[in-house]
Amino acid sequence: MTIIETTQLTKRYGRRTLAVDGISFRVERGQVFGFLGPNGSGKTTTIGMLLDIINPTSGDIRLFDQHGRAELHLARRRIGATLETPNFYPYLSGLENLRVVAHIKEIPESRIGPALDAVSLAGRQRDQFRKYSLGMKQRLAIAGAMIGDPELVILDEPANGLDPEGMREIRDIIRGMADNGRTIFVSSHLLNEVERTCTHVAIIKNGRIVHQGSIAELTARHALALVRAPDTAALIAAARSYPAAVNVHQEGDDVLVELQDDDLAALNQFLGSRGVYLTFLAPRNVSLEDVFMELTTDAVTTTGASA
Amino acid sequence: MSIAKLASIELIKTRKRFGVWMALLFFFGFFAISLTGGYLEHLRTGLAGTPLPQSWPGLIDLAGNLGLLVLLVMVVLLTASEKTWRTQRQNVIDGLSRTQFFAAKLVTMMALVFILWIGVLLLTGTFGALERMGETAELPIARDVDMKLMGGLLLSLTLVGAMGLFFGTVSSSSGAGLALAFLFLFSQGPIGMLLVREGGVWASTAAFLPMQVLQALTNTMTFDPEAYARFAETMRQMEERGQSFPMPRPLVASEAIVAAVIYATALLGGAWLVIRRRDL
Repeated sequence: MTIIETTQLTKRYGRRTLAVDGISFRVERGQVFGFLGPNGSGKTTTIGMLLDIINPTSGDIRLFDQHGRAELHLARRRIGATLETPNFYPYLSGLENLRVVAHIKEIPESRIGPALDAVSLAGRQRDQFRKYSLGMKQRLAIAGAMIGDPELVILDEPANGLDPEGMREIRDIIRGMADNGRTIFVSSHLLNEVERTCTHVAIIKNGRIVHQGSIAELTARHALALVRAPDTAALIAAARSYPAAVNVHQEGDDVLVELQDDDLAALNQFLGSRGVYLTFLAPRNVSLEDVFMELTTDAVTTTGASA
Repeated sequence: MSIAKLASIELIKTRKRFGVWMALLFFFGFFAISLTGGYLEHLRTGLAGTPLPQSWPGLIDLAGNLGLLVLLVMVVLLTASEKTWRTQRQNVIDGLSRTQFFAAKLVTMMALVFILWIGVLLLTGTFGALERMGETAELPIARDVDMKLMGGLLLSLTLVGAMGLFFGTVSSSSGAGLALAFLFLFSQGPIGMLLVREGGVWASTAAFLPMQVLQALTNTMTFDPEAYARFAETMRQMEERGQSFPMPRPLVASEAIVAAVIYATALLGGAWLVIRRRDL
């Protein structure tokens, strides 16, 4: 079942700013879907349109196969979400803030206790929200999103500003939700975190989706070779002329060559034929970060063999 | 979602709001001090300090003026801060529709209006009853015109609440909302004078400025044709003697009520449209 489907979704602010430019994507039931992009790429605007807090300029949104304003409002009741910073009443306690959420979602207050337990906030539930640390605020926001036992959880930058311990806690919570069969849509620019938790991703750049698919497909697109030679400049020049090279980057004393295939022997032979003899050659796993940088950094394409 | 459910949500939000309690304390404290002064005078001299029904007009006028300040502050605070803290956005994310959010704020505003209104009537009635004596005790506790003034006070407070809801909605913070609201109210004095000096249709318009309507709703003359006629005669005589000064003409009851309903509807409609169309 398709949980989220957008078609040509567009948001324009005034005449000049096109924040989201006709994006279309689908999220299927049970996926942990990462929505990635540099700052200002349109991630939060897109999520805002999904949640009805930003009015789309044009395009279409379907949630749980529901369509139209009234149906979408009902469908949104099956969603738990946080957007950007945690937004609660600062003068109310964590418990009272979740009572507000429970009343809005029309669910019994008996669900608040387990939700606070799940994010390890039961001991501080009577403290005012304004006295919480950022990590506690993020966890309260997740408890608020989870309290209605939603089928779809949307989290916007849930690990923002957290220390490594806080990030680990959030990651564990997301994994726990995924293990319970929920569909999760998470935006983040912490690529390592996304790679560890997500099954699928869409990458957005300047308001347009530049790639979407499973993490496995994405990282299997190219092979990487880390090479070293006494003359680095000559190595880079030779590598750029290799027909199967997609990108060539210098990384300290080493050079990273992105290849269309995984034939490292052929690369070694080609470089040798150009008078460049390698002192080091090793395959390197393609990370999500490598792919993300390739797809979102304008300069990357100019360093490729065809440039 | 039912109105009761919306009210329960707003109750959780409001009952720990320090600013609301301070505003209510100021309103009822000030009002009670005024009544207590009259009661102490009654205990000392044996004469009624705030006899009923004669004291209703003065006390309702006082409540109208105090309510203008207090209610405006409370409603702007409760509405604009939802934007500042982005809790309006979170409420919508959690499942409240924009229209339900507006309805919840409307319920809060009307609840505050009723608290002030009922409080004024109870306090005035209680102190007045304590002092009923002599010839005053033979009179009804409230005359026909007093009952109309009570209705006028309710409508006046509702209009103030609508102003608070509108300015709290269109502004991004409580401070900005209050500044806008008070600028709107206090600019009407000079504007009214300018319109009256222009004469003709402009002078007639001045009588219907919101501040004039608010004052008319808690003014005895609006609901008492005899008092209105006496005032008109006094004004005519002053004009003959060349002693008159430019001021908007007083409104009669039907004009004040219709104008108040139109203003309140327009302000509430404007607030609803802003909530519905604005990106949160």
